[in-house]
Amino acid sequence: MANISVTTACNRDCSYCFARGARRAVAAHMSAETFEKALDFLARSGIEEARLLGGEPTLHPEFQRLAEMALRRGLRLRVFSNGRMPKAALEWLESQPEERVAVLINFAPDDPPPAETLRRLGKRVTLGLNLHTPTVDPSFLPGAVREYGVAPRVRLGLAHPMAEGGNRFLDPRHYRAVGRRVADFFEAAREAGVEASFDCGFVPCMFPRGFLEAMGTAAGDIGTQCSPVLDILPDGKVVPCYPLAALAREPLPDGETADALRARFTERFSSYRRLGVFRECTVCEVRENGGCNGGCLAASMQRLRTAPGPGGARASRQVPRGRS
Amino acid sequence: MSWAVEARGVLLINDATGAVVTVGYPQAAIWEMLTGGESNERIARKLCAIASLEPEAAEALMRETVAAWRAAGFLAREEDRGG
Repeated sequence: MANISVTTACNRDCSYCFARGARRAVAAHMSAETFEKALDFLARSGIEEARLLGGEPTLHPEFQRLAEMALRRGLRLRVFSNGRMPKAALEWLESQPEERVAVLINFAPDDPPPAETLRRLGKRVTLGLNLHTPTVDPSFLPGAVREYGVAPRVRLGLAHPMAEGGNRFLDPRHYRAVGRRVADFFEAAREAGVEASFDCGFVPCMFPRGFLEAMGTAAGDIGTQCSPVLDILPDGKVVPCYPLAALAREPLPDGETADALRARFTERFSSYRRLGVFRECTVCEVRENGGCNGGCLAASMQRLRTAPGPGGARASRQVPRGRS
Repeated sequence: MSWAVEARGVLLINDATGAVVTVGYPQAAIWEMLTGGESNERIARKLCAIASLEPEAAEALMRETVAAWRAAGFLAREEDRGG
């Protein structure tokens, strides 16, 4: 899996967006040449789906051209959108077969839903919700699935911090409260015939005891999802994921696969993988047994403290070495 | 140099080399107090209470611990970095 972020342009300003760091006054759009290179990268990596992110990817001035380039290569297309898309993009997506094109539309809890887009794209749409505070309640989603006639699937995500700061994220102190709410939601969704899945960063210990066992196969890879995903930015640089974008980036490699690049990023962050989102992660049996990797690395790194730099506090005669 | 307080001590990470050291107590307390800017003498006095040590033993533990961290690159003398 790898995502292609085709533009930094966005028509919303979500406080929790982990791509906020990439946004700027003048939007950057991926060129067709860079997109072609990104598709080459997917092809030689054996990846069969082009996942377009932004910003809001449909705001790319050549969105349709890029999307058709991916489809011509025989790739499936998945578009991650907020649903506020230009008319031309909506009409094009609506004209595409459901088995080739999927759209994940993230609900913004404080905004009215993009009702027309949802109804017109119908079963192409999976609804998504980002849990960025402990009070975000996903219980409305099964009703929204029925009301708008979208696919009976929903995707929940946790808001993760950008390494450099600047976005709102779900503090791990609230994970257990969110886990209880998600467990209640999951049961209600299942009764309504709606399948729920989980994005990266969920950890087993946030859920009530016995819940993951009761989920069965639906629990999927909760706790061990980060591989990392790889996000290809509009300028052709690749980052392990948006939250870690400030700490590591490489040019889109010639002739190398996603697995090779992923291995290099994994190695680069291996020391920090000893951390987990909680203090208790270092003595956790589930983690010891491979059932969890400690949660989002960017969230774990929020617990780090660093040595004062030159000119900073220096009351002791010995000082920890600063970051080089 | 980065560190995080863990359930049973402190995890030290040398950002430059990637070296990781897990430090249990009472050494983890020494690290916390050092990074809080406390003097060696004051830390040694507190160690007497924290770890039930005689003053000489506390000073020796302090000396040995700091020397080991310095040798492993986790600590530098302030004057060595232009302070």
